[in-house]
Amino acid sequence: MAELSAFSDWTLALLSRLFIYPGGLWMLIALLWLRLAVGMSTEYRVPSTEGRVLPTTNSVLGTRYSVLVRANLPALAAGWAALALLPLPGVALLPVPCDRFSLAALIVVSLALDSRDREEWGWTETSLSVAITLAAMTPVAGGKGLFIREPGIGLADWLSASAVVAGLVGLLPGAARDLSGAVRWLAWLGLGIAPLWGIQPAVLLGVYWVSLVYLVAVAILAGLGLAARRRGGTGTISLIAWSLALASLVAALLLAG
Amino acid sequence: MRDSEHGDKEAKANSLSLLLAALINLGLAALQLVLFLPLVGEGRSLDLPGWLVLPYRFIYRADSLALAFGAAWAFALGLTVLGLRRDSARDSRWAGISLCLMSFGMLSVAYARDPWALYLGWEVAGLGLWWALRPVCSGRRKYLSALSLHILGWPLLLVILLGLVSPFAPPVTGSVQAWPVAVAVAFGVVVLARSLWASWAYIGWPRANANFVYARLPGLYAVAAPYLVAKALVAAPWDAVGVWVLALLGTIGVLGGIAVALNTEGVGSVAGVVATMAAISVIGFGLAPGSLLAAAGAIWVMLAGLVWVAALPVDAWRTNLRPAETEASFGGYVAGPILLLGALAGVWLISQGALNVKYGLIAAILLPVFALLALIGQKALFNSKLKTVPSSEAKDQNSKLLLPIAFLTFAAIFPQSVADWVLRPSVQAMAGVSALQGLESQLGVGLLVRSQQETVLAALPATGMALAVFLAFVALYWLKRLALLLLREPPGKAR
Repeated sequence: MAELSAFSDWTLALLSRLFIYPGGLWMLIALLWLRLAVGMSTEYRVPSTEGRVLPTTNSVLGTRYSVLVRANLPALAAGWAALALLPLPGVALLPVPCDRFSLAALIVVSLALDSRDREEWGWTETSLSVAITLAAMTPVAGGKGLFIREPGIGLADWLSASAVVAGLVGLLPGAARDLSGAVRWLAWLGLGIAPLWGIQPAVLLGVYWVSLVYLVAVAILAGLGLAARRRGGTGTISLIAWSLALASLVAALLLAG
Repeated sequence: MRDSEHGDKEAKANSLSLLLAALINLGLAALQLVLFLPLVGEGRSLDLPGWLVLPYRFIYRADSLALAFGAAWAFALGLTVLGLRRDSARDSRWAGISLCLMSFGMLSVAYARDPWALYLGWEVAGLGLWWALRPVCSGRRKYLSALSLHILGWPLLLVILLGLVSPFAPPVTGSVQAWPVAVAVAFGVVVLARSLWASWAYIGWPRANANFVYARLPGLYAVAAPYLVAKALVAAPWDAVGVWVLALLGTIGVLGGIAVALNTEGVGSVAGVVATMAAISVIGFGLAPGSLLAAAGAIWVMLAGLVWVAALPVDAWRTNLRPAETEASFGGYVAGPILLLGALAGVWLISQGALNVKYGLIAAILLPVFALLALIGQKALFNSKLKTVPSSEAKDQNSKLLLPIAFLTFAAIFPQSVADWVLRPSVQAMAGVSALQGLESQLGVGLLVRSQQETVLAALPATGMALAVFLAFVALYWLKRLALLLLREPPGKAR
């Protein structure tokens, strides 16, 4: 019976996370903001396989090439679940929360599911995704477990967050291209900037603090992404992300215990 | 006309021989379960004599680790052979016999108590592999491959001859003594060499890539190689230097496997992925004396690797088909994610195990490495002809991949079952590792790792996460249907 009640508790906590915050309604608003920030520029319009330029509409149901119609549903569902399970401030408590490995792995599963129908899947995107995964995992290197209960604010954590942010700048074209990429992008951001969740001001409720951070972060990263793309600096971004991830790993190992 | 009839008869005979080989292997898997499961289910083991050859000496030992590996090996090989293309049998006259030889050799390895039984079993398995691969190598290469397969076992032979390897069974009396460092080095080198041999076979033998009969076998041989290190833990642990050496060798193997995977294409790239999986298992078994979680994770990765290789759609590795003659291969589309899903809990266990013994570097890099493997594997399969199969065989081939894929998916969604039914008993059989404490199965949610102070160190609520993905998928499916309904254009405007 205890096993069944654990499952029942998990499901109850999951529903509000999945359909209200941080998944569901909140995710939809975050997605619209992300697409508004990055989708207004033609820089991110991508050619289809037939050579046409697909409109990267800001509407979810706008055209027959709507992002939802074109979306890879299994990959999108995995990304959505990852975002919903993030340990953000103000979320419903799960009876068994996911550790950092599980969350990062779920995002990677979404990526792997997405790569199946990407003829244009490039090494830069793969390299950036692996760099972000490494950066997300480095804070655990100096600890005792894969769980990080209190988001750390040490050097390794900030370097890790910087590496994730740098990688996300490089992944903006992917986020603009399809819905699963965008949801994954939001999930990586929530997992990567964990140190910020630990310094939540007392005057703000969790959901408002998270919304504010996402609002600002998306705007800044979209601007940086556009600037980097115009300069053709995807390789440089990848190099920066890898360097910061490795620096974070070294810092975590050296400063351990 | 007569030649054609003769060829057809020969092909039918060969198909029959391969079908028999598949049934024998699947039967062997079932037989092992029937014979030994009641015994090892009670936590016991059974020492077996050499019957005809050495009737008065125990040379085999049936325990839960041996049963898990032996059954998984026979199952994976049976599935591999079952998935053979009919016309592939034309050039595989002896494949059925050689596959059985390979399987008997590996089963001798699985149940070996005496080091000589293990060594000779691996030689027989190598002979079976070479025999199966013989049609695709010619001239000097044929003898070179036989010699190389034999040479790979020399470090093992050397330590056995020097008397450094004791029987693979826990000591009856007295305390457990750690293995000498030389044994750790020799075992680690042999495992890595055998796992990388498959890459050499894939890359060096273009003809081997042309027929999946040959393409999967080195993969199975490579991914099974770490069992040697696991077997050693049945008798004794490594000392601190041995742990370090195996972790180092495993890390070198990971780098080597990734280098192969990145610098090759198609099946060669997949071979690099397989070699990396074997190296990850070596790391897990290396760290095992310090953390039983690492041992459990390594067993998981090894067994998942065996099933994954059986699920590879390499049967479609033919370059002479026109697009119109092919259909999407189910296996080709899901190979990367399935690798990730199937082995994920194993990698999670090794990562937590590495943190337990303060190997933080390994804990941090394992997930990125596995992510890279999944993406490389997917890219290698997708960008090659492997994503398609001949239309005439699509239904047949795809249905044969369903079983291993279903196994891996079940293991990913419900890891509690593997942890309780396979890992706990298997780890219990290892004298070099303590009982699998700290790992907690929550039936409805997933796996937890607790410290001695009852603090939750890690949590993989895989079943709960799968539920989240499922609910999200259902919601998206209906939203997409709704979107398509709303966006349906009038017939006149449709393109």
